[in-house]
Amino acid sequence: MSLKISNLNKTYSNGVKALNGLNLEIGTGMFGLLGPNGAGKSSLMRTIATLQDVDEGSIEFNGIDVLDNQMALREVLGYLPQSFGVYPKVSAENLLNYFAVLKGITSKKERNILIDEVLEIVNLTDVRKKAVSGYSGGMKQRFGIAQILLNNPQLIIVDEPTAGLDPAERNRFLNVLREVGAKNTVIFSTHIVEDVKELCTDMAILNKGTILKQCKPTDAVAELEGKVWATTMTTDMFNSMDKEYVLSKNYNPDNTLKVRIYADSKPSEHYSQDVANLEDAYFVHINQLS
Amino acid sequence: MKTIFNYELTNWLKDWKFYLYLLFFTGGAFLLFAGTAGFFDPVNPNVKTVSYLNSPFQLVKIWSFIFKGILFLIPAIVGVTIFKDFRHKAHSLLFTFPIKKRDYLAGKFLSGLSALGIIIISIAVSIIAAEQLPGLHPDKIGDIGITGHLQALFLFVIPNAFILSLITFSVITYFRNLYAGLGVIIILFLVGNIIPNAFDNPYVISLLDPLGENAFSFATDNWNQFDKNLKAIPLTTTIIANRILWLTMAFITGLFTYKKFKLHEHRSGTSKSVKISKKEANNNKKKVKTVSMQIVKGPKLEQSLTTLWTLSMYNLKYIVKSWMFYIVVALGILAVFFAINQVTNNQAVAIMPVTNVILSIPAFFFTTIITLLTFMYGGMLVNRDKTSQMNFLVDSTSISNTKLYLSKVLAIAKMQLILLSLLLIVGVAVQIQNGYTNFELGQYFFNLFVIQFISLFIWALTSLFVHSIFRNTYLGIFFLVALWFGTSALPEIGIESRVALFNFYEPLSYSDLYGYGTQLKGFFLGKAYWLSFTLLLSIATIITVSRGTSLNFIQRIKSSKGRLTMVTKMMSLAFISFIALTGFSILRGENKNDSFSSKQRASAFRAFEKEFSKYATITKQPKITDMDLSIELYPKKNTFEISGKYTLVNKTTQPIDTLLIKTGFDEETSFTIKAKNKLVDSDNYVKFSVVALDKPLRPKDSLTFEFDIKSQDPSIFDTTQEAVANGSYIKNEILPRFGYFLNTKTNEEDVHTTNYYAKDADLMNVSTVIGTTKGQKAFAPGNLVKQWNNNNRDYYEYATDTPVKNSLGFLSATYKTHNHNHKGVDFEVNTHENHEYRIPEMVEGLKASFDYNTKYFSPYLFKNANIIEFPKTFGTYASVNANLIPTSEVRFIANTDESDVDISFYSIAHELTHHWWGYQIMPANAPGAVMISESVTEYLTLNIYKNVFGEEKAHQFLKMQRNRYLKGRNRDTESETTLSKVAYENQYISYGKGAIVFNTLRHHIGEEKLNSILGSFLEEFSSDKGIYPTSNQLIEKLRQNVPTQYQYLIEDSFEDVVLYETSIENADTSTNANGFSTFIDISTSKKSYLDGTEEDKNLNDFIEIGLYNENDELLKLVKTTINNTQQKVIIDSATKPSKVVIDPNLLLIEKDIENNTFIF
Ligand SMILES: Nc1ncnc2c1ncn2[C@@H]1O[C@H](COP(=O)(O)OP(=O)(O)OP(=O)(O)O)[C@@H](O)[C@H]1O
Ligand SMILES: [Mg+2]
Repeated sequence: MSLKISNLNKTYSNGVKALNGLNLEIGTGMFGLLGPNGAGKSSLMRTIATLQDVDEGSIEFNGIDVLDNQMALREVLGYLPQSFGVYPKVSAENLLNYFAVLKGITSKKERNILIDEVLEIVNLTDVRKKAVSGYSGGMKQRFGIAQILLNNPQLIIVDEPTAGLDPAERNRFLNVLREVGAKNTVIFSTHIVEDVKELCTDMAILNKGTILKQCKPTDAVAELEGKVWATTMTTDMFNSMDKEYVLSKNYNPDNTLKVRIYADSKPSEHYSQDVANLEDAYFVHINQLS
Repeated sequence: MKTIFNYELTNWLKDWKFYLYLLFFTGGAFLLFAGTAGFFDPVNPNVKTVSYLNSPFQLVKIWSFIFKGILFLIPAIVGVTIFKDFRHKAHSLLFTFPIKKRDYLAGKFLSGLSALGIIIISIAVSIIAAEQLPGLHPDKIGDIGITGHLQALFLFVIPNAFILSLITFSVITYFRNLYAGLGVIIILFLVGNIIPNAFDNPYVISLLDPLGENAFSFATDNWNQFDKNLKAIPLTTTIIANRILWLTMAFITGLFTYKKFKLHEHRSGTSKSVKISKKEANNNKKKVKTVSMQIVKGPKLEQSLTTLWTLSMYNLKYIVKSWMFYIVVALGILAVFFAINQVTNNQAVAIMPVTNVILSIPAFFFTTIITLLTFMYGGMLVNRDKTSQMNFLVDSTSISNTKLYLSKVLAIAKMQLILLSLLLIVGVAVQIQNGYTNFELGQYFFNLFVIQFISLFIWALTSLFVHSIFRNTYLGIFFLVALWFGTSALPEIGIESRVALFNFYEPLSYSDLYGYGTQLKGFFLGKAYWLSFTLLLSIATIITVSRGTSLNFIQRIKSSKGRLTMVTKMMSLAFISFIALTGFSILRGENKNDSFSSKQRASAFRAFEKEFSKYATITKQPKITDMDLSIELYPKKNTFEISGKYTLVNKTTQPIDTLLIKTGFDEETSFTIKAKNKLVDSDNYVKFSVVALDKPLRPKDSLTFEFDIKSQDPSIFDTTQEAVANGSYIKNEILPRFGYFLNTKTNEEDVHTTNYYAKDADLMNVSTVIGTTKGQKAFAPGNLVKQWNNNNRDYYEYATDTPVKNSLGFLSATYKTHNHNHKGVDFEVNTHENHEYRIPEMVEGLKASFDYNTKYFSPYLFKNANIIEFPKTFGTYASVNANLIPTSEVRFIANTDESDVDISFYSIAHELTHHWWGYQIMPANAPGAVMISESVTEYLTLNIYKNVFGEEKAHQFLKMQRNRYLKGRNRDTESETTLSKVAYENQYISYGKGAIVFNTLRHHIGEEKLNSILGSFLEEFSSDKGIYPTSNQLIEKLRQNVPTQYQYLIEDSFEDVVLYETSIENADTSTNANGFSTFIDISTSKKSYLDGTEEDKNLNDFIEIGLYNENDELLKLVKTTINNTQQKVIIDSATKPSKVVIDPNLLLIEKDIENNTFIF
C-alpha cells in the first residue's frame, strides 16, 4: 500500500503558492505531516482527497491515478477536514446513516449494524440520538472519525484533528486512529510535535509548500544527537544575542530564560549538551539550520 | 449604530447583486409602463377608451403588480443583511465586540431597508421617466401631476415595504434562518389570498390583508372610468385602519424579536448542546476496536437504484419535515378550499362541484405554490451541503454526481406529487362535503399527475440547474421568478411562439362531453420540447458540478470537459435532436394555425378595411328566403363538410348588380351563383368576395346560390374547432353571408326592413340533412322528418314548418333525452348522461315561460322546444335557434341549492321568452335593439320568476340585476349609454338596468297594463311582416300609454342615465290618537350622468317608504312624492314601527342603499 506524490504545484488565484514542487512517498501506517500555519498541509490533503485541483504533478495510490480517477480513490478514502459542519438538527445516527448511503452501503440492515459498531468505536453510542450540531468539539471530531470508518477506507486523511481537544479527549481520539492506522495508510497533519512522536511511524516536515524532511520520528531525533545545547540567560542577554540557531526558549520561574540552540560543537562554556527531542528536529528543519 | 449602518449600506452599494436587482426592477418597470402606455404598439384607432395609466388608481394597481416581485426581494436584501452574520459565523466573533444590541439590530435593519428603499425610489423614478417618453398613446397619459405617484408610494408601497421588511427581518433574526424569511413572504401571500374568499364582510377583508390591496379595492369599488382617471385615492377609514393595524403588527414582531434577541452565539432557549454523560466519561479506558463488518455489494443497477431512492427520501424528509412546509401547505390547502367554495357556494351563481370545475379553479393557484416551493427547495437542496459546511465530507465520498443530482430531482418530484395528491384529497373532500359523489378519479389523476406534473417537473429540473449555476439560493430564486414572470410578459413584446416561451402553455379547457379533445396533442408536443430542453440542462448540471473547493464559473466549464463521457455525449445529442424535432413541429403547427397570432389577425383586418371599405356603400343586397343544407360531421376527425343551396330574393325596390359575400373565416368555401357573373375582388384571408352580376337582379326576382364548405384540417394548436369528438356545435356564421359585414349601422331608409339578427334574411325556410358518426344524435332547426343509417353513419333530416330567423345552430353528440309534453308542445332536454341535475328546473322554466307568454302575448309557433347541451368550451351562454335552445354545459351543473337565484330555471325561461321577444318581434338593426329583445325579456323573466318562486325570491333576482348594473357601470371604460341606445356588449345596461326600469314601471302602472302595451307593440311589429321596430318606437309606445304622473319615468329610464341618492337623515316616532306617527327626514338627489357629465335633475318623483316592526314584517308601505332634496315625511301606523326603509322594493337605482334604513 503506498501513496506516491510527485512534483505537485498549486498557486491559488490570489497568487499564494501553496504547493511548490512537492514530492512525497507514504506507505502503510501512521504518517505525520508537520508544518507551521500556512505551510500547505491542508492544501496538500485536500488535493489528495480529490477536493482540489493542482496546476502540475501527479498522485498515485495503490495504482489509482488520483487526479484522474477521483471516484476510484473516493471508494477507498476516508477524509476528515480541518473544520467541518453538519446539517443542523440531525442526529448522529441519522447523519451516519446518510453518509453510509453516500458511501454506497445500500442495505439498511447492514447500515444499521455498521453504524452501531462505528458509534461504539468512537464512543458516541449514548448520544447517538442527539443532534451533531450540538456536540462539543471533541465529540464532533469523534463523529468525524466515525464517518470515516463507514467505508473501511485504505487511505485515511485527517487534518489537524487534535486541535482544541482536551488531553483525555485527545488520547481517546489518537487511540482510535492508531487502531485503524495499523493496516492502512493514515495521513495526519498537525503542528503539535507531541502528536507525531506518540503516534507516527513515519513523518514529513512541510513548509512553504515543499517537504523539508521525511524520515522516521526516531531518526529525526537521532540525527540531532550531540548537536543540541542548552543554557540559562537573562532576557537582556537573549535580546542582544544572535538568534539564528535558537531552537527554543522557555522562561524559568525566576524570569531567566532557558535557551536551546543548534550547533555542531559546543558554542561556549555557558552551554551544556542536552538530549535532542522531536521538537528540536522540527525547528532545525523549519529554519533550515542543517 | 451609525458605523454598522454605514458599513452595511456601503457593502450593499459595492455588491453586484444589488445592481442586478436594481437593473431588473427599474428596467422591468420602465418597459412595463411604456409597453402598457402603447409605446411599442401602433395606435389602434378603434379603441377610444381613455384610461390614464398615471392616475392614482392605475398607479396603485401597477405598483401592486411590481410589489409582487419586491416581495421576493425583501428577504434577499433586508434578510441577508443580518443573516450573513449568522451564516458566516461572524456573529460569534462580532458579539464579543462592545456593540449594543440596539445599535446592531437597528443598524442592520435600517441599512437593509435603505438598500431596498433605493431600489423602490429608482423604480418610481423610472416609471416617471417612462411617462415622459414621446410616442405614448395620448389616451393613456393624463395631465394629472404627481399625486398618483405620491399616493401609491406613501399609502402603499413604502408602508408595505417597511411592514414586510420588519416582519421578515424579525423572523429571520429570531429563527436565525434565512428561509424562514422567504416562508413568511409566501405565508403572507397565501393569507392575502385566503382572506377575500374566507370572509364576507368587506371591512374584515380590508383590514386583514397585509398589503392593503383589498382596502384599496373596497374604497374604489364604485368608481367609474372617470373617477379612475382623475380621482385621488380617498383616505377612507378602512385604508387608514389597515395601514395602522399592519404597522402595529410589524412593530410588535419587531419588538418581540428585539426582546428575545441576545448577542449570543446560539438562539436563546434553544441551546441543544449535548452534555457528556457520566457513563461516557467512565468509558474512557474501554478497549478500542476496529470495524469488523464486511460489506457485500449486490448487483450494480439494483444498488444504484436503492441508493438513489434512499437519498431522495433523505432529501424529501429535509423538505417535508419543517414547520414552514407544513404551514405553507396548510394555508395552501385552505386557500384552495375557500377558492373552490367560492365557486361551488357562490350565492349569485353556484356551480356543482364536478371534477373539472374542482380542478380548474385551484389549479393555477395551487401550482403557483408548488412552483414557488420548487424554486425554494431546489435552492436549499443544492446549497445545503455548502451552507452547513458539510460539503467536504459529502464531496469526498464515492457517491456519483449523477446520483446526487437525481436524488434531488427525485426528492422535489416527490414533494410535488405529495402536494398534488393533497389537492386531490381536498377536491374529493369538497365534493363529499357538497354531497356530490361522482368521483372521476381518472380525470383527477390525468389532470394532476400527468398534465400538471409535467410542467412542474420541468420547473424542478430548471430550478436545480439555475441553483447549481448561481449557488446562491436567493439569487437563484430571484432568477427563476424572473424567468417565470418574464415568460408571461414576452407576448407583450411580440414573442408568441411556444419555442421561446419557457414551459408555457395556455390553460387546457375541459368539457365533460369530450374531455380535453385535440388540445392534448399540442400540449404534449410543447411539453416534450421543453422537457427535452431541461433534460439537456440536467446533463449540463451534472457535468458542471464542482466538488471540493469552489471553482468559479469558467473553471467549472473547463473541468466539465473531462466529464463529457461517450454516454453523456450521446444523450446530449439525442436530446438536441429531439429539441430540434419537436421545435420544428411546433413552428410548423404554429405557422399553419395562422389565427394563433391575434396581432396578425388584427393587421389583416386593418389591411382589409383599407382596401375594401369602398364597398361599404353598397347596402342593397338580396335576402335569403330558403336554405337547403347537407352537413356531414366527422366528430372523431374534428372536421365537417357542408353543401348547400340558398334562394336569394331582391326585396328592395332597386336592381342589385353586386353581391358582397362573406364566407366562414376558418373554412374553405366555394360557391356558384346560378346567373352569369364575374368575381371583381376578393380577400382570401378575411374570406370576402365581391361579385358583379352580368344581369342585375331586379326587384322581387330570385337567384340560386350554391356552396360547398370544408372545414380546415385542424392544426395541432387549433383549439377552436366546431367539430369535436362529442358535442359539436356549428353556427350559421360559418355559412355564406351577404353584405359588407363591417358595417355596424344600417342606413336610415333601410332600418325598418333590416332586422338586428341578420341583415341578409327575414324569416326563412330551412331544411337540413345532417350526418354524424354512428351513435350520436344530430340536431338542426325544425322538425325531424326522417332518420336513417348509411355507410355506418347516422343521418337526420330536419325541416322548418314555420319560417325562422337566420340564427341557426347544428349540434351532434351522444345525448340522454328527457321528454315532457306541455299543452300539446313537446319539451325535450338533451344532455350529457352525468348532467341530469338541473333538468327539472329547466323544464319548469320552459313551462312557466310558455304559460306566461302565451297568456299575455301570442301562441307558441313551433311544435317543440328542445334544450340541447353544448360543451362549455364554446361558451357559458344559452341561446335560441328557432325551436332549439342550445345551452352551455355550465347551466347543467349549476348548483341551485346554493344560489340566491335559480340560474337554470331563469336562463331557460329567459331563452324561451325570446321566442316572443326576439323572434315573433325582431328589433331593427339600430342602436338600442337589445332593449327590445333583452330588456323586455329580462323583465318578463322577472315576472315569470316571481310567479313561480314568490316575491321574496324575485327580490333576490332584482338585487342581482342591481349588482350587475352597478358593477358593470364601474367596469365600463366608456361613458355609459342610455337604454335607448344600448349596445349588445353592454349587458349590464340591457339586462341589468333594463330589468330594473321595466320592473319599476310595472310596479307603478301594473303588470296587466304594461304587458298589454307590450302586447300591442308585438302585434304591431310581428316579424312575419318584415318590418322591424327601433327602441325609440317602443319608447314612444310607452310614452303614449303611460299615465301622466309617471311620464317622467320614461325619460329617466330609457333616454337618460339617472341615479338617485336617498338617505334617512333622521326619524322619530311618537304616539297619536290612532296609534303612532313616524317623522322621517329624507334627503334625496337625482342626478343625470349623460355622456360622462354629472347634473342634478329636478325632483317630482314617487318614492316608497316602508315601516317595519321588530320582526321585520311590513307594517305600512307609503308612496309619496318627493319635491325637495330635504323633505320631512310623516307616516301614521297602528303599531309601533322599529325600522324605516326608503325604497324597499328597489325601484330607484341607487349606489348606496345602506343609508336607506333607519332603525329605532
Ligand atoms: N482557497 C484558498 N485560496 C487562496 N489561498 C489559499 C486558499 N487556501 C489556502 N490558501 C493559502 O495557501 C497557503 C497554505 O494554506 P493551507 O491551508 O494549506 O496551510 P496549512 O498548512 O493547512 O495551515 P494551518 O496549519 O493554519 O491549517 C496559505 O498561505 C493560505 O493562505
Ligand atoms: Mg490546515
